[in-house]
Amino acid sequence: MSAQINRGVLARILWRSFFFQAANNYERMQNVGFAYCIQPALERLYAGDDLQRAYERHLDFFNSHAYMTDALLGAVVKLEEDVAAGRISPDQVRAFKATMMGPLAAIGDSFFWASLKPFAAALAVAGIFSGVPWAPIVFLLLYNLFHLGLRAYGLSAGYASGERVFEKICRIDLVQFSDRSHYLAGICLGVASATLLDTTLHGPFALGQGLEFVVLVGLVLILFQSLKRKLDMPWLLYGFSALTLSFVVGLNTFFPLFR
Amino acid sequence: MTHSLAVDLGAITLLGALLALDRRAAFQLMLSQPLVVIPLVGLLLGCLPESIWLAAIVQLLWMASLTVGASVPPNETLASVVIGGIALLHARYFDGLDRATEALAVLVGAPVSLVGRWLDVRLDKENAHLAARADRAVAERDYATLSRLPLVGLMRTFVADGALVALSLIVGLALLVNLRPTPGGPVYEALGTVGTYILPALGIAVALTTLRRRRALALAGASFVLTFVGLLWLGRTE
Amino acid sequence: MNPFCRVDNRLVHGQIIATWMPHLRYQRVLVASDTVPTNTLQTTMFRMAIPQPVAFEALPIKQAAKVLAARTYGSERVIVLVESVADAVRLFEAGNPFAELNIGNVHHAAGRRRFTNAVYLSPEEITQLEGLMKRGVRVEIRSLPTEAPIDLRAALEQP
Repeated sequence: MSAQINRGVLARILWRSFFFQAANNYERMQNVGFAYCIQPALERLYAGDDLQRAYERHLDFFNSHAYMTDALLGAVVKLEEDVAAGRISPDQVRAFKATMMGPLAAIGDSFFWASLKPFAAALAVAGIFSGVPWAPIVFLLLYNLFHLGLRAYGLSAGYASGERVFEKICRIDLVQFSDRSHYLAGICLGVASATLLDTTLHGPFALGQGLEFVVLVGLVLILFQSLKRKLDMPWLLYGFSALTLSFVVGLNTFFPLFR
Repeated sequence: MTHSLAVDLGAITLLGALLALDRRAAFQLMLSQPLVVIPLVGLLLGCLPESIWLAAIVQLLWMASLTVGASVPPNETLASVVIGGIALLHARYFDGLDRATEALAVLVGAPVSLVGRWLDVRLDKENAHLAARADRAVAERDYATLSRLPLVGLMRTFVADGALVALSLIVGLALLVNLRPTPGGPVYEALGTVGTYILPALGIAVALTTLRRRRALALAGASFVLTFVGLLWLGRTE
Repeated sequence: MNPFCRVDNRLVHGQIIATWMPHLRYQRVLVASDTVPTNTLQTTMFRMAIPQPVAFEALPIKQAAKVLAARTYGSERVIVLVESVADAVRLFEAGNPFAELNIGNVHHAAGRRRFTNAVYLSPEEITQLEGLMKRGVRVEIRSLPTEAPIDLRAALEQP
């Protein structure tokens, strides 16, 4: 660790990275956020014209995944040290950022948004339906274990190894993790559906004679296919609710004895 | 703690606007997911147990709402604050909570997710000023201003989302109280059926679309059958 | 099956992995660029970000055009990614006459016209795309498969 960049600076960058997306804008996405996060390091490394130019290059377009950006911030701090020492040119930092933001977003989006979040949520939903009221706490703990862990690890590993941080991230193999979590999420959703069906069987709106099974499974299949054919969730919500309403009300109006 | 409807409306608005920040602008600890938002509203109103089922259902319904790249998904956080808020306020101040009322709350509150998305897009467009201000600050070497810009962004989001939540809570609650049918009638039965069948089935269907492997779907089917048979067996031996 | 051609400043990123690939079940990602194939860091990262069963290749534009024109991939479902409109035009002119072009992400800069929140085109790019359209290419602006596509020809007719 160099004289200018100490643990305190990295800790401030970590804290600021929680506000990385506070100033998102459509023109340059997270550029203000990036400059804001890297600020403590720039203030230590540069002064005068150099400082101004450093800020300018960190206001470039930037768009990546918020959690993965900590690893990139760590690596960029390391690179900026090299720039300040005259070992590399500032353009290399620019190119590095532009190169890395896409793949990092790909890994972050597919691991956190498309895999871990649905899996942790499916687990908690299955828990709630099976009578575990504190399941949302499990959801938060499980998710944030990965989230906070990756942020802190990414920043320190990024600073320690510079450009080579991505070999370390590769070694965690989040992509493989993503794949597996979909199987686990599938199992959780199966359990959730079964417990849900069980409560329906004993609930106030039970239909009797095992009809609940047919109705629920049939509905899930129809709705799943409709969603796959790009019908929106809100559209289906109102469409099927209106159908149910007219059906039940109609049944009661024309065959009052039927119920 | 003494409660009054006005104080509770204010408290939910404040909580909702804070949680809305967690959705993207700050932290992203997933406190903004319906699964957490609705129990927190329940905790605030002192009716946590009643909030849990609704939390699970709303979570499932908006499970596919992903933020990737520059695309903007429906805002499930604002929708769940409003759905949870009006349902639980109804439980506390009006006439309890049952499947029919919960279903009506979802139907009344769901459009807020779309209005929320519109607001998100507006805010991101407005934030172009922040990028311009950052450029100016650097040109003038006024770096302290640069470090304040994220706070400006946060405040904007907080105020805008808070205003939307407050307005939607008042309109939504009025709709819920006035539209709620008398228990026992056909419309009540119908809403109960929506709450018992349509919402869970739609929620599960949305959640299934987030599975990316075909084998994951097969596993979901298998675990469903196994669990259900297990539950039937348990029920028989009791 | 015809490859899906897309202009995207960020090439491989979350939108490709989390939405387009599951949507059309792509089996191969081909990045056509004259800078990417020589950048080992970038190709390693792309390879890592793309799930294992999907093949990944980065080729210089001329070579990519040759490979695509020869239909080397048979019935494989291929997504072709280029970094800019200019690269798309070069790919087309190098002998890969694709029939449809998707514009996914083109970042904002001064003097660019806004089409969506993610696509800003410069006057030169619009001229280049008009050239492609005259030669029968259908150009759509769409970041995600779930969005409604915007036809560029229709969008240009509006003031």
